[in-house]
Order: sequence, then C-alpha cells, then structure tokens
Amino acid sequence: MSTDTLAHDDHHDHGPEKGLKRWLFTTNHKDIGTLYLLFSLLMFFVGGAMAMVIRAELYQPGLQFVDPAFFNQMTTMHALIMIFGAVMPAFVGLANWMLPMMVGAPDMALPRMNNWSFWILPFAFAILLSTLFMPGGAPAGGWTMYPPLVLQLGDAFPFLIFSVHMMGASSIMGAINIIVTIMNMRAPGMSLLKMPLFPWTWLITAYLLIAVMPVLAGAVTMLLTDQFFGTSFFSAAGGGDPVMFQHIFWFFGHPEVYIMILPAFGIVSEVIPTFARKKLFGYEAMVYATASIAFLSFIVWAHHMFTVGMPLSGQLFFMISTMLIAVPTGVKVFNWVATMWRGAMTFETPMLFALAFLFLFTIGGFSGLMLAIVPADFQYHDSYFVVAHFHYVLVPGAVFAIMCAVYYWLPKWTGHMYNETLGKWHFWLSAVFVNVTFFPQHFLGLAGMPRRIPDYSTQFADFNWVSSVGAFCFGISQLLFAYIVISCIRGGAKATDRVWEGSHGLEWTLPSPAPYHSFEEAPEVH
Amino acid sequence: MLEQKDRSARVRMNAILLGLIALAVYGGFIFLSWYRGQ
Repeated sequence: MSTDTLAHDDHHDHGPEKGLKRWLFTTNHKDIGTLYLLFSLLMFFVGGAMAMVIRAELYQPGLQFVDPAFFNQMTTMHALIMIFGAVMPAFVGLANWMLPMMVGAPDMALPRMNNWSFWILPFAFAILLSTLFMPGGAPAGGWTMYPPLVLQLGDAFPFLIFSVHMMGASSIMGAINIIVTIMNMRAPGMSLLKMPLFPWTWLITAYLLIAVMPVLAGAVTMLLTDQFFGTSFFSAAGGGDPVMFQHIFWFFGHPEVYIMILPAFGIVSEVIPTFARKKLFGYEAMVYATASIAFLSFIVWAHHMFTVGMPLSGQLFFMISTMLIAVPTGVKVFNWVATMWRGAMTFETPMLFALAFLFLFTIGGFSGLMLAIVPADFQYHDSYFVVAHFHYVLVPGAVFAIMCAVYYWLPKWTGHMYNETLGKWHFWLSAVFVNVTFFPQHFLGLAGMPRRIPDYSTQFADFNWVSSVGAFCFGISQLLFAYIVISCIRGGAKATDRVWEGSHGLEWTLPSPAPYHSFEEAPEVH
Repeated sequence: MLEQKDRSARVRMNAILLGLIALAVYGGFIFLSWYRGQ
C-alpha cells in the first residue's frame, strides 16, 4: 500500500451524507442492508394485501369481491412479489448488514455494484406492479409462467419478462458480491471452518443463485423470443416443446426453494446457541448438511412435474432423490435440538421465532415428503395440500426466520432494545394465526379442492372460512411488527454492545449501534 | 493477509469470473434448448 493511500485513509473518517443523496448514492453495506430490508418490508405488505384479497374472495363459496381474471392476477402477483420482492431481498438485506460484521470485513467487496444491485429492484417492481393498470391486466397464469398460457397475456407480457430479468440481474450481482466478500475479506485467522453459520449458509446460497438465476433468465428470454421474434422453443406448432419450459423452469425453481430457506437455517443456527447458552452442536455437520442440501436441490426438479408424465425410471429417480433431502435436513433439526439439550434456555422473541421455525418448518418438510411419493402426488398435485405445504415452508419457515433475525440484530443496528412485551405479542399472534390460516388448507387439499380457483364447492366452505379468518388476523398482526421495528429505530432502552447474554461472534464486539464504518482494522480471530 | 492492492486485483478477478459463469449458464441453457430442436 502506498503512503499516499495511507495518508488519504487517515482523513477518511466521515459519516453518511445528508438527506436523499445518502440513500441514492450509498456504498455503505449497512445503508444498503437497511434499504433492502425496508424495501422487503414494503413488498411484504403489498404482497400481503394481495393475499388478503385472495382470502376475502375465498371466505365463502361463490364470487363475492373480484372477478376470476383479477383473482388469477392476485395469486400470480402475490407469489412473484413475496418470492422476489419480500423474502429474497430480506435475506440479501440481512447479508449486507451482517456478513461484513460477522467475518470482520470493513464493507462488502464490491460496494458500488452493491448499490446498483439494490437500486435495480424498486424499478423492477414498479414495472411489475404497473402491469396491474395495463390492458389485459397483470400476469395471471401463475408465477411459474408456463407457456402457452403465459403467452396469452395482454400488454403485461414483455413487462413481466423485463422485470424478471432485472430481478435476476440484481440477485446475481448480490450473489457475486457475497461470494467475493466471504472468499477474500475474512479477518485474519478466520478460516472457512471457523466462520459462523449465517455466512456459511449464505455462501452456499450465493453459489446456488449464480447457478440458477441465469437459467430462469434464459427461460424467460426464450418466452420473449417465442412471443415476439418467431422462435418456437416452447411452441409445439413450430416443433418446440412446452414441457421443456417446465423442466428448465423447475431446474431453477427447486434450487430457488433452497435459496429461500438456507439463509433461514443460518439464522436459526445463530439464534438457538445464543439463547440456549451453548455452542452449536455439530458445527461441521451443519456445514456439510447445508452443502448436501444445495447439491441435492439440483437433482430433484422434476418432482414438481410428476403429473406431466415421465418414464417410470424418471419418477423413481426424482422420488428417491427428493426423499434423500430429508437426511441432511434431519441432521440439521437433530443438531438444533441437541444444541438446546441441557442448555440454559431463555425465551426472548428471537428464540421464540426460532423455535416456531423448528416445529413449523418441520411440518412443511414432512408434507414435502408426502408430496415426493409419486402415486400420492398424483392425488395431491395442484390441490390446496400443495398450497399448505409450501406456505408452511415459506411463512413459518423463511418469514419467521427473517423476523427472528430482525429481532435478534435490531438492537445492534439501532442501539435500542425493541419492546419485548410487544415482540412476544407479535410472536404469539403470528404463531397462532399462521396455523389457523394454513393448517386447514391441508384438509381442503386432501378433500380435493384445487389451487388457484376463486370459487369452490360448498363442502369446502368451513375450512375456507377458518383459513380466511386466520389470514386476516395474521395480516393485522404484522402491522404490530412494523410498529415495533419503527419505534425501536426511533428510540428505546439503550442496548449493550453484546446485547444478549449468550451471544458470540465478531458482530457483538462492535458498539451498539454499529458504527457507520466498522472493522477498518481487521480483528484477529483465534 | 494480502496487501490491499493484491486483494483488489483478486476481488476483481473473482467477480469477473463469477459473472462469466453466470453468462455461460444463461447462454448454455438457451443453446441447449435450441440444439435440442435441431
């Protein structure tokens, strides 16, 4: 390093810019993390409002509030917004805030690209949401965008494709940044197998993103050329194959499921040891289990397509490979339970969310195993059982883990403790009503109610009523979450540097709130 | 620990390599889809 650079760095101790410019031009990982998290909270409420429309329509049989075409737009947009706008950006926001502090780096490796990764997103979602006002309405053929149905979209089609490309570009750049940061900027002494679990799970997730987001981009590019440039990738009339789209889509789609859950595993692996006041049981096994799940995620995609038709050998392969995922997942659940065994546990809000994750994600995992069984899947496919399954994995799984992380690290971010009583209220309301919403959907599916329909036979009325009441209460409970977070940002009891009695790791060695520039000199890890 | 200059070069090389992998996956899937139809 030259003396010039050193001299410059000596006078480099400036804080954030003032006003809007701070947020538009920031290259600071904490600012960008905050932007991602606030954006994802906003999208969580936009997507949540769409869920409320869906549940209001399904409150009783018959068509009540919206016409079927708009209902289909709501199911499609709800999924796209929740997956790409709420869950994924929330995890990237957490990664931005925490990874540099957890590995002892001053910032992300590529700060300007980091700014760009974030600022693509508001434009992508503005474009996607603008389709609601276009002739023909918003995308309505399902978030899976299967041709030929998706090609019947109105003016929204090219806007959908463009916004998906933008989301993909944002995710790929975010993933590159995370990999490069972890591989190059860890503090001296922090070998990979000394790294905390959250960076580990994110490292593996980032590789998944780089491997599969371009696949989605390729699939939607081919949809675009089929529609506007005379190709026939997926058009049977021109010699193409619509089923090939489904294979390509799910080659992306299944690893995508793990993109949304591996960082959640990382969060829970941080929180449970803190509140059990014990080291994580089986650290290396956790790392290898995460890597195994990531590997297996590439060879199970066709379990989404059993009813499309495939050779018996294909059915067997995808059934057995899917069931294999239960092995590393079981290792993880065992290790979390073993971490708590004989621990001195306390039940602050983050721990409550982590425990709910453990129980309820496991329910989603088990219904996933049921769906993996080919003959059973012939019955369950496209029924409400599938809706119940993936909502158990994504809401009390991914979303609860995000909330767990927010409560866990909020005092480090803001320097204030959140209101613990309100936090517990938020947890119990969420935990009760998430089950009231989604558990009856298992029964609806087993009784034969199809997914993605605005009306249903009268025998499904009771459980739909229960599910809708649960959904409204769950939705309202989330306003409490926004209130708790905002009031914690504005003030509250002063947080200590370590915040939690049982916390370990570099991020807790920093003051609360964490300074704008942290670890300008790398800490030593022993 | 690597010197600052060395590290920036390595960071840049890593980022470019990962970006190229992403582009190759994108192009590769489109190529294979086209090739399957030939």
